[in-house]
Amino acid sequence: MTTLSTVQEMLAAEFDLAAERLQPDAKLVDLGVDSLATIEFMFKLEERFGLDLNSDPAPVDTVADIASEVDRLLAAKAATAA
Amino acid sequence: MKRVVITGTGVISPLGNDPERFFDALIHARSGLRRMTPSWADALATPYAGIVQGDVESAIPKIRRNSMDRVTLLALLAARQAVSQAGLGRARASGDAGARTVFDDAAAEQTGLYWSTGMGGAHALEAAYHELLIAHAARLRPATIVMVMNNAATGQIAIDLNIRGPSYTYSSACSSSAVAIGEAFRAVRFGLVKTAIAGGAEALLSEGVMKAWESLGTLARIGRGGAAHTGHPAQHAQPPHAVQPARPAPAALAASGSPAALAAAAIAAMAGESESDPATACRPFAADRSGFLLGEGAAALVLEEREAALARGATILGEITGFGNTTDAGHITQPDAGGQARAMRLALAEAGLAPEQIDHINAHGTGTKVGDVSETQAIHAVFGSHAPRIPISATKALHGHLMGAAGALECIAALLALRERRAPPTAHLWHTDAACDLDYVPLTSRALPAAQIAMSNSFGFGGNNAVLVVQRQAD
Repeated sequence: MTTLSTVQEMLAAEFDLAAERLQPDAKLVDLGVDSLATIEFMFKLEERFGLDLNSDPAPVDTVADIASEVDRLLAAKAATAA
Repeated sequence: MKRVVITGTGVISPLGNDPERFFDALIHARSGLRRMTPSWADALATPYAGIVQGDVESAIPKIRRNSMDRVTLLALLAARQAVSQAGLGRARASGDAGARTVFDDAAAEQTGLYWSTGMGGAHALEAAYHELLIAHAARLRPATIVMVMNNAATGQIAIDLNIRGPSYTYSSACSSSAVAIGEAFRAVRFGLVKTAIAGGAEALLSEGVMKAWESLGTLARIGRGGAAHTGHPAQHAQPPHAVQPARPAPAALAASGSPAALAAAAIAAMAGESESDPATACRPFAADRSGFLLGEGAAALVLEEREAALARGATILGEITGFGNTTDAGHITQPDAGGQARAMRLALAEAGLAPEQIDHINAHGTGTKVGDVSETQAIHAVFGSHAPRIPISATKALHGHLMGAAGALECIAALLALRERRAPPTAHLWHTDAACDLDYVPLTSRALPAAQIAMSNSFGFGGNNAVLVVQRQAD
């Protein structure tokens, strides 16, 4: 399972959004996911992937942005561990 | 000054989730007090409360619900109902907030919101403390503050219905939503807004809040009642001879053989069984009263300038004609008959009424030892020789004490009593108390053939007394 598909699944469950709306280029604001909801969702991602998103947050506008951010931080974490 | 009419009502209550179901249950003395199911409730002396039934979540999409406490959900549903019944706004059937009608921008700026709650987002606050103090979470949900804050429901209603005029959040414990309605009434009366949404919501059936109420000694408990009417709290046990039966023994009734006597005997026999049922523990004005049971819910009214409502062809449900609000400045919990009487007199004065013109009272009637005596004394003081002629209903026996929603819910009960020309019963009033000597419409509802004007009393901890006068719309 890719990071993107995991993020899509989590978005669908957390906000009760239809899977077909969660295309990679779908904008969070268009999905009704406002800034507060985004922060709440980021907290869930941290728990799921064992990350610390607060350390170096990047702006996220789309579904793909979230997945990219998670991948970037996972890579950084792996590099640190190595 | 404008005349202020009621054109919409909304009810989410333990007795049903619209005004008609709510009032039908009241009239038939069906109780909304139920055994609480969470395991922590087993530790309560009386694990019963007025619990809203049915699905209150699906009308609000999860993406919005995620940042709302239960109190806000209940508030939104009641406010939507009221605006929908009033026929205001335009339909917005889809989108990210669910089906509802919303105000046009021009109307939105002329519409005010007067909302109330006693404790705000009690569930969210307790959940946050549980996470932090019990589960030792390192951080809390980012939405915690916007779920807990007392004006959360006010803000979410405004967003949901597009209300852009003034908005206020009142909190004066048990009188909160009566104050909200009174302030909304004045705002329309004095021309500050054309339309007002007013009401309140409460959702405090959480472990911490219920244990706190229990400790205060105001929650009802089977076997704890007695005829004492002084002192506080209410734990003083009373000798059996202090209780005066309001009904003859079933056998004696049945022996007379008449249909009425047989029916009365049947009621009395049922009462015998019911008296041990914890769901009947709240017994306003009864000798064996020991306090109230808590409830959750929300109630909302739409108030409008009468001329504007008539011009748009709205159905007018009734009229608010007076509001009285006083503060005891005495004790933080002890009621004061003097302050209550002043509030009733102020409401009558604003309505331009003589005491003899009041046909019905929805009492605050919580079922506490001191509260019911105080209210009885205040009614005597204000109404004099007319007092014993007024049918007085204490409906908290059936729906519980909804705190921040109580005043609005009971104002709607008074309005519907006038519309349906029937006073709800004061349930569980099997044993009269010599200190509570008015006509409380015991046990069964009563026709009000010519009733035109009702009073709704709400008295809150902190010493706030709020009284509304409601008038029936002429046929």
